[in-house]
Amino acid sequence: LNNFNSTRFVEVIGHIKAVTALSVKPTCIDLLLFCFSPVGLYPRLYPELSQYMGLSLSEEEVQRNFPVAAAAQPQGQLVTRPSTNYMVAPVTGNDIGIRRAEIKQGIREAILCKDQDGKIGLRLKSVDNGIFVQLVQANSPASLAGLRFGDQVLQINGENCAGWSSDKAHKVLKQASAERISMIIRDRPFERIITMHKDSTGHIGFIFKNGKITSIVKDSSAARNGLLTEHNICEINGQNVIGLKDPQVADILATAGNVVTITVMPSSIYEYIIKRMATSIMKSLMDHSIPEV
Amino acid sequence: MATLYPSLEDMKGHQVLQAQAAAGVRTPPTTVVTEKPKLTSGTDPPVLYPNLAELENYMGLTLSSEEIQKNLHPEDNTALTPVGPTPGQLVAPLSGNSVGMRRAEIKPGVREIHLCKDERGKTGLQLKNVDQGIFVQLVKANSPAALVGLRFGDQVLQIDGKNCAGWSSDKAQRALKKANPEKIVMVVRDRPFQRTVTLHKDSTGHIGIVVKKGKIVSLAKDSSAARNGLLTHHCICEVNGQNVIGMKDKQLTEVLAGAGNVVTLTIIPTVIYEHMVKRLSSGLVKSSMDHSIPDL
Repeated sequence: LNNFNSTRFVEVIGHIKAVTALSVKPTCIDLLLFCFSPVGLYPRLYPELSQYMGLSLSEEEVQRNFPVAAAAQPQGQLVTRPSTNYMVAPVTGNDIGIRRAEIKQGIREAILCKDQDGKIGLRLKSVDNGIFVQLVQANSPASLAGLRFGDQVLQINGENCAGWSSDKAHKVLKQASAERISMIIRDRPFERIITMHKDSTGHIGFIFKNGKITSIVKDSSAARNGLLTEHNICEINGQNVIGLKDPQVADILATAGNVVTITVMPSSIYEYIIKRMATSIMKSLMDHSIPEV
Repeated sequence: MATLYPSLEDMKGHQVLQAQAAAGVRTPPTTVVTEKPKLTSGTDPPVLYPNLAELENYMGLTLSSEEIQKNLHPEDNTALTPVGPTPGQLVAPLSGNSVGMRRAEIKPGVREIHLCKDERGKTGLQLKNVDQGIFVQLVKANSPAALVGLRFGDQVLQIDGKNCAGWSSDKAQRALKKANPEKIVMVVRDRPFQRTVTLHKDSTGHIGIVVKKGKIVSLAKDSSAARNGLLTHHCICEVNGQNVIGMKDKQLTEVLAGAGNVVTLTIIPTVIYEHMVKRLSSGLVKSSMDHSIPDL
């Protein structure tokens, strides 16, 4: 079962099939295989490549060009999950925007310290008996620790946050030691990423207002990849854009390069999370920096 | 980059083992119940985590050191060397390579599938429009759709090369009806509105949730569900990858009971679920929905 991160791949294959009849084979193969991510878990996935694309690829050549990862995973502990291990991305390649945006399927620990004012720059909200990050202030301990809007906080200093109110969560943070606060985080459970490609005019193909996607352009990359309306844009290539004005968001989209990974959240859930957060705070304090990978 | 774990129990277990290994203690391949290894170290660093035996009481888990050893080092059962996981890898000393986890796993990508119709010209698939996208609302048991691995909540991006963006449910069903019975090519995105949460049963076999009509209504304090941040107002779509939508609560409880110690639930916010099953006849759901255990 192949997984591709964009439906463009299917079309590109058709194109390459037509082109290879004319072009020099070695360069075509190189380009193609260079873009292919290593398929560590399935080293024998591409023997049929030679017939499928009308290229004469011997199996040895294919094997040689695939940096095959450790053969069989030992039963148990280490389960390789990063999407680059099973996703094939000849058009998108090893795009940094996807890596910044990628929502990791797991939980992790984050250690924070308070700044000189005794703050960590974090606002939390209770949703469905869980605690979520509502606001991460720019240049704060929270932003340093890599926390993002929509992250779920499972524990603070060893205590389960299940069933807490927003007030209780803030109280616990206030009373916590300034030296070290341990938080267990689940990565943005309500969000998901969609990778799209700009067309020749630089458009992805969706219209948004106040950060919410309102319509999809026919036959665009957005339509092809099934971008949905009634969703709010949280991040572009991993960079938080919540609270930015629409022209600012448009700017970021325009300068984003040809591959754009958008992180979206259903509007009903988004609106609930930001409820009762002053828009002024969202616009002025929120962290909009580009995350490290 | 921080280490990732599928569940909180895995994180705690791994941290304890790392702490023990760092302190130079070898966890012997015997059950912890009989022998309680103490954390000894020369420089006496502050003990951040309880040792494995305390962990057992702390989380109500029955852990045997054997199980963990098996999950960490199948061949080498002498010293426990803390293998640094490369960035992005999931570390799962307790969940191991749980089959349920792998069956349930939602892969964030796009894939192409080929569907044929059965002898009556049906695909066994019912589709619904949500937010200008087309989603799988129903997969009938023993149908071509079930065979090809489609699941409730999958988003259909293309049918026979045409984008489904903006189609009504009727238009999508018509497209299926008109399609070539030999081969229908569909491009699918894996269950975009759902997510998986991995839990562990405690010594009494509970994960700590109260379910009514397939919806999670409350979480038990200090349970695996609470620890792992499972949320209320969510519907359970799958248990270890097996579709449980439409099952009676009693049936669901049975599936949970028979699920083994590591339980991976696939959940969806109720608001979205209700949108998706709108105008789906409940009779159809009860009688023909596919509840089989998927292949890996």
